[in-house]
Amino acid sequence: MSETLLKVRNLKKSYGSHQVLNGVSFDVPSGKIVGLLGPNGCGKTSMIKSIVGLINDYEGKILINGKEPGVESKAIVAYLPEKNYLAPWMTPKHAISYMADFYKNFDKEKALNMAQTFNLDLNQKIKTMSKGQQEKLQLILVMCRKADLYILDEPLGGVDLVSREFILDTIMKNHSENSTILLSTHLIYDIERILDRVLMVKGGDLVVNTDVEKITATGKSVEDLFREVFSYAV
Amino acid sequence: MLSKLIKHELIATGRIMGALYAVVGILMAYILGSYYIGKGGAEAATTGQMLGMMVLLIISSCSFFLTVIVMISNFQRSLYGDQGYLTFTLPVKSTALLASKIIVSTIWFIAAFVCLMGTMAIMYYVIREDYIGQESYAMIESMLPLILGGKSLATMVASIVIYLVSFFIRFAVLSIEVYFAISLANTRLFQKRHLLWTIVFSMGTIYIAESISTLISDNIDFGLAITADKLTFITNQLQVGASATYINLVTIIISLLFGVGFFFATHYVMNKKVNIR
Repeated sequence: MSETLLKVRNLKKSYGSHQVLNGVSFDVPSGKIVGLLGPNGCGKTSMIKSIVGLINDYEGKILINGKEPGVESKAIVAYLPEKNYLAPWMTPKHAISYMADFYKNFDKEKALNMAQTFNLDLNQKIKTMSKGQQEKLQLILVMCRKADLYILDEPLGGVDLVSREFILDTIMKNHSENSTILLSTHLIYDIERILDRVLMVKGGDLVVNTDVEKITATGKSVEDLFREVFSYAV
Repeated sequence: MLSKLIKHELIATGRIMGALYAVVGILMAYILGSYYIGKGGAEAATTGQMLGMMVLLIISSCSFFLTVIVMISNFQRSLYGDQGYLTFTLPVKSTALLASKIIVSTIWFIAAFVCLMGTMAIMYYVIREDYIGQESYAMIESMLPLILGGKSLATMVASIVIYLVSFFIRFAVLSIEVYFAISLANTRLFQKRHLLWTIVFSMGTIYIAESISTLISDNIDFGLAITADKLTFITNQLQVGASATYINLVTIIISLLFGVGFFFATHYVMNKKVNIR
């Protein structure tokens, strides 16, 4: 495995005349937890969607473990989007079987056990589950993969403080050893303690790309730096 | 991976289509069962049989339309709706993704076709003149020898197989044409009113493909003549004898070419032009 797991070079993306990414470049090393930080609409999700292969009409280069986004990269990337991506007629049991069918690195037993631990009814239809239950299920589906790279897009958005703690705890306990986590959020306070490195995106540009240690060495917290950088943000 | 995609596509669409054909199966079993059990009694079809037959006929007639609706909504939701976030991040080739959807929709089209044929067969053999009327029944009886008469069993089987294969190719190509239209309707320019554009593009795509196909097949004669004991390739329709049936192979070949063309066009639009919302 290469030391740099994710390499992004001069990534540009526009929707018509609206430019959302202006040539972003960065590397994500293996085994680190990286925060992708920025306010809503700054280009975080477009960046993530390009990395996971949901957006293909971008300019620039993306390499995951040396490979462009495609079948091979998708096999090693576990992605948790902001949205509920499961069909409403599915049950947790069916969703778990679905993931086990397509991902060799998916641990079905672990997923079934976690579903029970989280009090999810394996035969309940997703459309009848609460938003919180749906989020728990999606988190299980992602964290039960022994992936090299976990990409979590706003996993803490729209949930209460207790749930945030629960989600972070689940992520930290279940991600595979030596894996990398790219975690996008605008809620800095909750995740600061777990981050190794931060990327801050502002108006489609990468304005901060540094280790958390270097920030704290200056006597600031990540949240302080975030406030400093985004005090002008819309 | 294709087999797994097909399996899950069948599960996703089978909830509606499977339920529909389960009802069809129950109705057919009821009509056939009550007919053969009551055969020793009254000759005329019972009210229950007639009612069952009517429902069967309605379902059979609607099954093609329902297949198209299920096919469109499933393609839209599983690829370009929120479920696309899962579908497009699976470690599978997008050609396999598209192929699985075409194969499954063709399976459902074939099921609709079989359902219609089964209904016709029940109407003809079981309900007979009670349902379709004595005159219509006599007319069908008199027409059959003209279509089937004088042909050997081998020729009959071969021509039925060719007809069925050409039908199934047409179903598959129809699916690809509709999938192309849905994909085009989900590009940035049309995404806001994708349902409206899906209808417009579907009608446009099918109309253009049919027009080109008709234009070419009207001007090129190449087909199979089915005569009493053999199938003969012919390049001039004037060679078709009075008692022979003609299968136009040009239409089938053009259908296949359109199918391949639209498959790669859909694949291109899916991968290069659509951004999942």
